[in-house]
Amino acid sequence: MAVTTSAPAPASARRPRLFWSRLHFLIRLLGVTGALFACLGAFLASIQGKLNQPLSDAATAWDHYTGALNMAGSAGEKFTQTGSFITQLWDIVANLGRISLEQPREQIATIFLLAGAAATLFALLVEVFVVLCFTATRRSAFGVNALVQVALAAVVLIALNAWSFSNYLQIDCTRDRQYTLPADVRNDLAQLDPSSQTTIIVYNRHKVFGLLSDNKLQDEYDSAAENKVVDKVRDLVEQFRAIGPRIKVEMLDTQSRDYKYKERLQEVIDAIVKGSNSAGESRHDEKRLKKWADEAASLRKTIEDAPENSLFFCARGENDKLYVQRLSFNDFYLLDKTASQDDRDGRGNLVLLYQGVEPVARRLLHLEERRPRVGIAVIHPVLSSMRDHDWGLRGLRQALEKRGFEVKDIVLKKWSQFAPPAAAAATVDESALERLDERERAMENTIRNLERAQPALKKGFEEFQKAITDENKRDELSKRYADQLDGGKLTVQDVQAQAMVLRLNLENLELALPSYRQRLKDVQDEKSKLNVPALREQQRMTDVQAKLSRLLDDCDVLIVPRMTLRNVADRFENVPGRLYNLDEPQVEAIKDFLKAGKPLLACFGPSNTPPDDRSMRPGDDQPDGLEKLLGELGIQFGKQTVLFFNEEDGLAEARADADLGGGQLEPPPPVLFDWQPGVGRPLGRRPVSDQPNRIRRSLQLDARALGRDADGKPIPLDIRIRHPRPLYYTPPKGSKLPYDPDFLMTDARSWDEEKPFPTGDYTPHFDRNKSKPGPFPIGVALDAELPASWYASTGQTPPTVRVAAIGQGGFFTGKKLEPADAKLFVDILNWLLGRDEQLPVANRVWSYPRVNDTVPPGSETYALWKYGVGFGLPALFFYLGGVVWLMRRVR
Amino acid sequence: MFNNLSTREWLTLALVLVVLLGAAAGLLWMAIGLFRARSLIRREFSAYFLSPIAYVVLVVFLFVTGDLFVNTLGLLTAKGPMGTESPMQTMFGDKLFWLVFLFIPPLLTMRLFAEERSSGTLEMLMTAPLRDWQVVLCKYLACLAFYAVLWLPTLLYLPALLGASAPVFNNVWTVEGILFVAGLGSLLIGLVMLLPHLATGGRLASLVLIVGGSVAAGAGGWLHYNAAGPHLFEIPVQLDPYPVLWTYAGMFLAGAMFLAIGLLISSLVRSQMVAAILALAIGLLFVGGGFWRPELTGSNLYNFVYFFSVPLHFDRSFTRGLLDTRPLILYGSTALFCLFLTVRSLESRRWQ
Repeated sequence: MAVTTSAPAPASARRPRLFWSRLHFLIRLLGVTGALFACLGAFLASIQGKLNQPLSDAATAWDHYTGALNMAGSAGEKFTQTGSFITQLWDIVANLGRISLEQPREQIATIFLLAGAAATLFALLVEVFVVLCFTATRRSAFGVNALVQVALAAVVLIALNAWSFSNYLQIDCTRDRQYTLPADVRNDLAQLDPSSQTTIIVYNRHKVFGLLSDNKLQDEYDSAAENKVVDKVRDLVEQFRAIGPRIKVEMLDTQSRDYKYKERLQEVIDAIVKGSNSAGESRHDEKRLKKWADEAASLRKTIEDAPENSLFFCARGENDKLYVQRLSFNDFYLLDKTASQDDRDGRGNLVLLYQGVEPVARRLLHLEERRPRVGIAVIHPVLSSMRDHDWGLRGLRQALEKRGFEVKDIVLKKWSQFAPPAAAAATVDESALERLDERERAMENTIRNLERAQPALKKGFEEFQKAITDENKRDELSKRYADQLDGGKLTVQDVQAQAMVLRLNLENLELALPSYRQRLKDVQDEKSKLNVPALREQQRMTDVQAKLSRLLDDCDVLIVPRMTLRNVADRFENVPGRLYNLDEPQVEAIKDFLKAGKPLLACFGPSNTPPDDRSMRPGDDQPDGLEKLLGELGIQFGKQTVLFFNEEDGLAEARADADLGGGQLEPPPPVLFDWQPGVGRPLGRRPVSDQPNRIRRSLQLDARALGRDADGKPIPLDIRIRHPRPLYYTPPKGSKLPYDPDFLMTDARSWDEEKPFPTGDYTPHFDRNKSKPGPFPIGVALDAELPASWYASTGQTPPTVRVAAIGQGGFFTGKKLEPADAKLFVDILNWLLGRDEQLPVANRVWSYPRVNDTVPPGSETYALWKYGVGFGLPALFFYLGGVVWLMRRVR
Repeated sequence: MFNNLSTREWLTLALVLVVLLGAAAGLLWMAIGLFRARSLIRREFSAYFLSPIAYVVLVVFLFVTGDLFVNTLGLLTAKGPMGTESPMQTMFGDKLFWLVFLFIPPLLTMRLFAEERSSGTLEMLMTAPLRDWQVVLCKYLACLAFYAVLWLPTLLYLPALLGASAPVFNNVWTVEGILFVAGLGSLLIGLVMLLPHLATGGRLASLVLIVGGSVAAGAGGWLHYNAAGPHLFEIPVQLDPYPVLWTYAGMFLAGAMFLAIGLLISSLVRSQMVAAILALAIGLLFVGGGFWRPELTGSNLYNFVYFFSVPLHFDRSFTRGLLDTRPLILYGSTALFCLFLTVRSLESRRWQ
């Protein structure tokens, strides 16, 4: 190997070398100082927030660049994109420099940063130049050769890693490919529009649905499940993220460690709403800015209103509309607390029911899917979902809207103080318009009268005022009011007193008028929010059947609640069943709705009435047309009311002392979902099938999330239905269901009571001769084949329609719905709408792997592993090291 | 399969073949070179076992992994809803482990060249009839071998962590099974032949048996494992074995990278302490990202940090049974680059 040595430099060459050496030192000093100032400037600018915008712009440019690179086909396009990216970066830096020069005092930190960076860059360039000169002038070929080799190796290293950064492969070698999306899902997702981006927001608000009341604390199983499901969701979104730039994932945690959840939420919302237009908002017109603001507010509300940990899927679709879909973490993994507590002979484990990745993929692929619209047919606006009233259904509306449904109220009766309720079909807006019209009319009348009274009052006051000093006027007034004065004469004091009264009246009137005008304006404002022309047109329709059919047209499912008995011990808490009876045209409209293949949920409370109800007319206690219609489908409503044994005391007290302290009933026991086939059916009626229906199975799984109590008994789902009505399914001739249609059953500690109201001579009680003991089915759901007679005129083949019924219409009223009740409704509606895939399943069970069989805890084997292997191994090597050390000391 | 290939695809295929053949020839050439320098490997390897620092490293390493093993075993047998889905992730996703791991490669590599340089034996080594790359690779392989030895005792944890039962032997002889057994036998014989002092022929034979036996046992074992039906040899396990396999493979490659970095630093400086501190500082660049906040998952910054962060590679990929090409390329390319630089660094002594 040839080694060359450089010849000693001539003395004359030393002077320039000394100069150069000092210059080189100065340049290096400049570079190092520049780097220090750049760091200082970056620090100061970051704490002053001056770098936020440039960094954000740079991040956006990077996002676009990486997105464009993925979509670019040829190398030329990639090169163009890279050039464009560098230009954007340069623009950002240039803009920063321009701002700094314009306001040098305010931007001192930025100046430090830019000037320092420039000095460092200059020094580096000089170093590169020096290295090049060095290699060019070195006499030894080794130096140049080695340097070139090193440079080439470095280029290869950087290029290879840069390439692998964006072109990588992840091979899932796990047993069940748990980190890989199924092939069909991947294929489906590959069809997503490449030009649009979908954002998945993983919203962790640290609340699992869990069917718990809000005031109940999570136990260790709930917490463990929450943490695990969050991990699983993270894994899942990683897999979606790997699909490409079309899917963007954002994580939001309400308890994030940096306490910046609110800011982060706003950033995410802005990015979704404004998309790639977020920079330079001033360029956009006011209309667009307002649209963005509205969308951002709406999206924020949607996210923050989520009742539990959720995934949100957001993307712009047709007509630039922002579509949002939500999926609960529980739709992905469901806790099976009962199995968790029972696992390993009671030692416990975490058992989750995996619902598959399909629900997530479905949301992504059907983002623009219309939300199902639920029609709720009530008999009075107070009972509707718009009213914030204990008897209204505001809670139900909120629960359904949070879970992706739309709700529409339909009012079936027109009410008047002077006539019995008449059949109608109106929206709540129509009823509201009627009320507002009445109020407006009354208000206008009052204002008109007050305005007319004002001049007369003023004139009277002036006359009496004048009469105080003018005797002639007093005489004139005495003559005018001679009848009231009984021939007497007005004195100065009388006139003064009357003038004062008139003045006060006038002042009151002047105060009242603006107030009435304001109230009129409020009413008119309220009216202006309604689509008055359309409502007027609806009001003009007098054909109830046609109008109801029209209202039902855009509903996907109809709920007919009949809140009758809420508390038999308190007469004022119940609504007579007869008020709910529908007229024939209304029943026909609902029949047409069913014939169109749309599903129905009937929630009919008991029809029993107090024996002393004088307003009852003959026939009022008979089932109405809708009940008969359901009877044709096989659903028979019992005539009794189910009372529970724990209510007997309250009923007795109500009879004894209805005014003071009576009427307080114990809460009923929760409904059941587990029972033996045939239980609850009348004697002689065989069970339809041993197979539970889909809703019941779903609710059974939901109940398993509650686990067992301290005594080891399963904790029931907290759905308590007071005063339900038994429901029986009798299959129509020729039809056979492959499953048991019953899905709700009362507790066995109950009886069916024909006279549920306590009266002066009777307290409802269980009498084995008159009543049957529980349990009773109070909820059925079935695929009903519509009767052929309905199609007699057309000759069509009757279709099958999903119908469900619950024997109570009042347990879901109020301003807020309990989580378990909400889950019941969501499950029923999903099933009715044919969305079976959205009901929980137990096909795939996940649990923590355990090694208890091979290493039983507490056993000798366990101790050997723990101490022998865990701590014995280091001890062994410590010993060996000691021996070697001793051996080395032997001479 | 090859009928429908276009000219361009044929050319690509030919190019790949040429590259592979070139690589194989290069490897063979290097293997021969290393075989000739085997005494240096032996010397470097045995030096570890005579040095107290190696035992300190072993003891501390096993103590930490033992503690993590006990914790993981506790989770695998815990009462209630506590548990772990990936025992390897629980063990090697722990910050404590990476804090200790950070110190191991610098401690193993700091003396390799710096000691020779400070004691003046480097010149002697350089005048030996060996090429620079042979010196570098011999030291590197010895160091890597000791690193592998460091991990060998941890294999004892696996039966407990995988919930393995007693092995089952079935009298089922298939081609794959025979290949597997024959491979294992060759490997064993080759290892035994290393013990006595043999001539070059004997050493070559032992090497052939070790390499051939390893390949045969690996291929036969893989085919046998994936074949249906009863197997010759079965170890029933309750947990997924792939995360274990990839974790160990990943640890080997990551160690290879860190050791190569340490070796390079050791070749550049005279003081062992300085070499260790510098290697530690560079290692920190690859380990520090492991303490990154998970909230940033998915951002470009996170992706960038993830790319360089070895603990994150283990937390998200290897310990969960995922094989990610990014870390593999990073470890491999960085190790090769550092070895290349080490060779150049040694070489530079000749022309500086």
